[in-house]
Amino acid sequence: MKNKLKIILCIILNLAFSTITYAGAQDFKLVLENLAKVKHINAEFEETKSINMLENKIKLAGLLEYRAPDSLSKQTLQPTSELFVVKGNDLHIKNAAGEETDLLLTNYPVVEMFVEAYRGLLAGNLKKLRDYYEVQFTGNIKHWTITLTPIEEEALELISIITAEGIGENIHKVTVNEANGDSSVMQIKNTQDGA
Amino acid sequence: MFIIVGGWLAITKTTISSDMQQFLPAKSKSAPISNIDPLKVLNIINQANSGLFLFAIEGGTDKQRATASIQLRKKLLKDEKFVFVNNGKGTLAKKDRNILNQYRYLLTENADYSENSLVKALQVRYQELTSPLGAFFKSSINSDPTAEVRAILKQWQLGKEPTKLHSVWFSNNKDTALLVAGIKINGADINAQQRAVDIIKDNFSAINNNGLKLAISGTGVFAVQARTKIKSESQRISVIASIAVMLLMLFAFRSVWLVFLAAIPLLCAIISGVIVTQVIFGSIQGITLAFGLTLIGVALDYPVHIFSHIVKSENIKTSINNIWPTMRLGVITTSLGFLALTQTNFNGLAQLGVFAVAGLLTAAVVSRFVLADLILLRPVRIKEVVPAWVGWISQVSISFNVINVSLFTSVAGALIFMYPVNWESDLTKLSPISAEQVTLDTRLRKQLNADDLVNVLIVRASSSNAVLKKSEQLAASLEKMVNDKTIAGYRAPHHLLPSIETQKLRQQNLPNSDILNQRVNKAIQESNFRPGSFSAYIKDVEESKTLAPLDREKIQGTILDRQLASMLFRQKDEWFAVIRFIGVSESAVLEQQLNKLGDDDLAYINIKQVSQSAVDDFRNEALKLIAIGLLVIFITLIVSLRDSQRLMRVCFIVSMALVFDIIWLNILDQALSLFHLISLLLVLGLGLDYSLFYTRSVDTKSVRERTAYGMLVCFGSTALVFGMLATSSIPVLNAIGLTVFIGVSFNYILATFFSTKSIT
Repeated sequence: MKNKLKIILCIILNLAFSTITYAGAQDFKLVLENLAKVKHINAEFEETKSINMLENKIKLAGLLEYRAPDSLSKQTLQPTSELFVVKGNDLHIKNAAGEETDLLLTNYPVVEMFVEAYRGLLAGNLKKLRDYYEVQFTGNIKHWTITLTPIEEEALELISIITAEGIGENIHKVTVNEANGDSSVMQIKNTQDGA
Repeated sequence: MFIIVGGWLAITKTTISSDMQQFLPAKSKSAPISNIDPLKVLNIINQANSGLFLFAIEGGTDKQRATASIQLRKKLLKDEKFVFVNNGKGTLAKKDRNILNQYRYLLTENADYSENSLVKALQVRYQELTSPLGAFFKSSINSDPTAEVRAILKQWQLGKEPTKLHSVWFSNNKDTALLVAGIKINGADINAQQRAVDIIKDNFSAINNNGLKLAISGTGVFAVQARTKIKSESQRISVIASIAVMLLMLFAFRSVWLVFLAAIPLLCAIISGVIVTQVIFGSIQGITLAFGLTLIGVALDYPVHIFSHIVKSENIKTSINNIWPTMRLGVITTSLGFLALTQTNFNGLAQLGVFAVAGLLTAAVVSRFVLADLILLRPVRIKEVVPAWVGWISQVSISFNVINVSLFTSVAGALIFMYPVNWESDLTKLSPISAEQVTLDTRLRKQLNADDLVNVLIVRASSSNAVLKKSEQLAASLEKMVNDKTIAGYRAPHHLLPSIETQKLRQQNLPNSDILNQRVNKAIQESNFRPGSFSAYIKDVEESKTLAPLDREKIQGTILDRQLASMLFRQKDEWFAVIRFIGVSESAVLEQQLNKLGDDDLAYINIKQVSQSAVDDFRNEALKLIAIGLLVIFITLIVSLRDSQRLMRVCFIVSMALVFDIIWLNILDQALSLFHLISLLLVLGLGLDYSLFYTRSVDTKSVRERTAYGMLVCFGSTALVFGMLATSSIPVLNAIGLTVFIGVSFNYILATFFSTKSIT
């Protein structure tokens, strides 16, 4: 008799939990779908970096551009000009000194993982995100937070967690917490939405 | 840091497949520019490459290929035969990283410890730190603000690292996972190479659950394949040919006993050939044995001549005595031809000569002195009457007169003019390696960005450190060539390991910690870095001052050691360094500029040219020796024949057969190589036999018919064996088969046409 009760209790509890998670999963799915619908983004960003080794916090500002499915560029304008362009497997960098470097993302797995966080989020590609991260969703369709924790040991030594916050189909804040305590917070403001 | 800058280091390129390398002389004949023998160097380089294997994993999904690559590497590294296995994952082992870190201020070439340079370095580091990839630079900034580790890695690498997928090397189109492995090896040890190939294959099949394909390449694989191919093909052909010849003999003499006896001189010839060669040379090369066997197959002709000349009416010994002078002259002259080969300083060919001479003489002696007694052991029903058509053949004849002789000579002259001789200089063309294997090798080398080892500069000195020093002294001249755009770059051993003196000089130039501390503090003031951020750097520089310089002993088992192994060689008391060039605009210009350096301990080598001219030199030497052999044969004929008519006939038949053989090969578009030349010696020997027998003055028509019968059997068996060799897809066997088949046919036809008739 007691056993039966236990089983029933378990079933009820299970049902309750799965409803909650189901609701979360539904929202997550919709958020990802909304993100995927946006094919082109032009945005301004402001970034604040806290680095132990440096006396002051660093403030950067510039432009972001995304084109589905895999083109992403980050142009820093303040305090110096710097360009970072990813397209497919190619990474093009032009540093403040004007030196240009071309790399293949696949040759640098940790960099690749870092880039895929942004691309995966912007494309709403959960499968891709899960190749590199444990993905968690909190919130609802309107206000949501997605956190990414690296799976690979090698990556965890550098990056502890990446947190993206969004409203609807727009990501407006990305926080990167590094293993050594450094962090960067990037605020994003869309200037034009494309379809 | 190590995550960003993969330690991709170029691998050396092999030039000659070592299977055919055995047919290169150990020393070159032509005078080298300096007193360094390029061929000696070439051999050393080739030996150093003999333990290198490149492999490709294909099929399945890219994840499966990457997993297989990682698992295969792990398995192979457990085997102590493998010195290294690289697939892009963890290219720099812990030991390598430690050495690189600890000795960075002794290894780096352009370190600058001035305040100015520190200020600039901190600016760059600041930029890196704040860049999107800043996180990846952080760990090394405190101890290495001037980024020397990165500079050294740049110093070490020549080519571009291959594409990576799932953190292992892939071809650009991503359908092939790539690996490079090296084994411990002493010279070109085919057995060790064979074992390595087996280990790779076994380990791969143990981890291969997804039907992936593994392709292996490298000098070792070429050597193993060549050996297996030549061995299996010559075995296959010799089995078939032996059966065919046996059936032919059985048909000709209708006696199992005689066929069995015919094999005895041949067996004795092989045994004595092997023994004599081993006694003289200490060992016998497998390839000598393989070619030697085809050459002394002629030993079968001696019993055939004897069998066909036996008649009931006379004692066997009398029959043998009657033909012995002819046989003896044939054996002696043929042996003289092969004896010429023994005069070369090149081992493989000299062995072949000794083997053939010892074998032929033994076969003749056994036939002459043992065979008669053996025949008598059992009653033999001797077939006295030869078939009617043989009698008819024995009557075919063209008169040996001025008109006919000039007719043949002018046809030969015209044809030689129309189809001139085409010499083969490229040894690799004779390699039995399939085109697919060569394509695979080229593809893998390209995908792995292995450099082409064509233009090299050899530096010689008396010790490993001295040769490094000499290499360093050349740097200025070489840098100038880079500026001139004569070359795009070069790779010298001192880029990997500086000489002791240079390392000590770098230590002396390190500032003391107080001064460095001051400079760093000033640089920090001009930057955004927190004070004290670089105490690790100051400590490391201070510690570098008292380090004992790196030498070859200390780097044992590291990537530096493995890289140096292909650039730094020891030969007895001499050390050689190999400096390789990339992006050579014009070899001739480079050669000219290097020669200007005018140093006896330097030699510019164009490896392709060296091996080609070695082949040419060697062939010319062989030609010269053969010419001398011909002269000796001619004198021997004059002395022993003492019959100008017969001498002229013999010389005409033999030389015409050789000339027509060469013409026919030219018509077939065969580029003539050493193997054709050796085969022509055999054609010469056969021609002498045939013509001597056919120009023998004989009393009766029946003896002439017997000679014709024996000749037909000899020709038939030789044509069978070499005709089969000619069908082989292995270039060397094909060359031998074709040359002898065509030559023996002309020998037979000409000897028959220009035979002397019986008196009655």
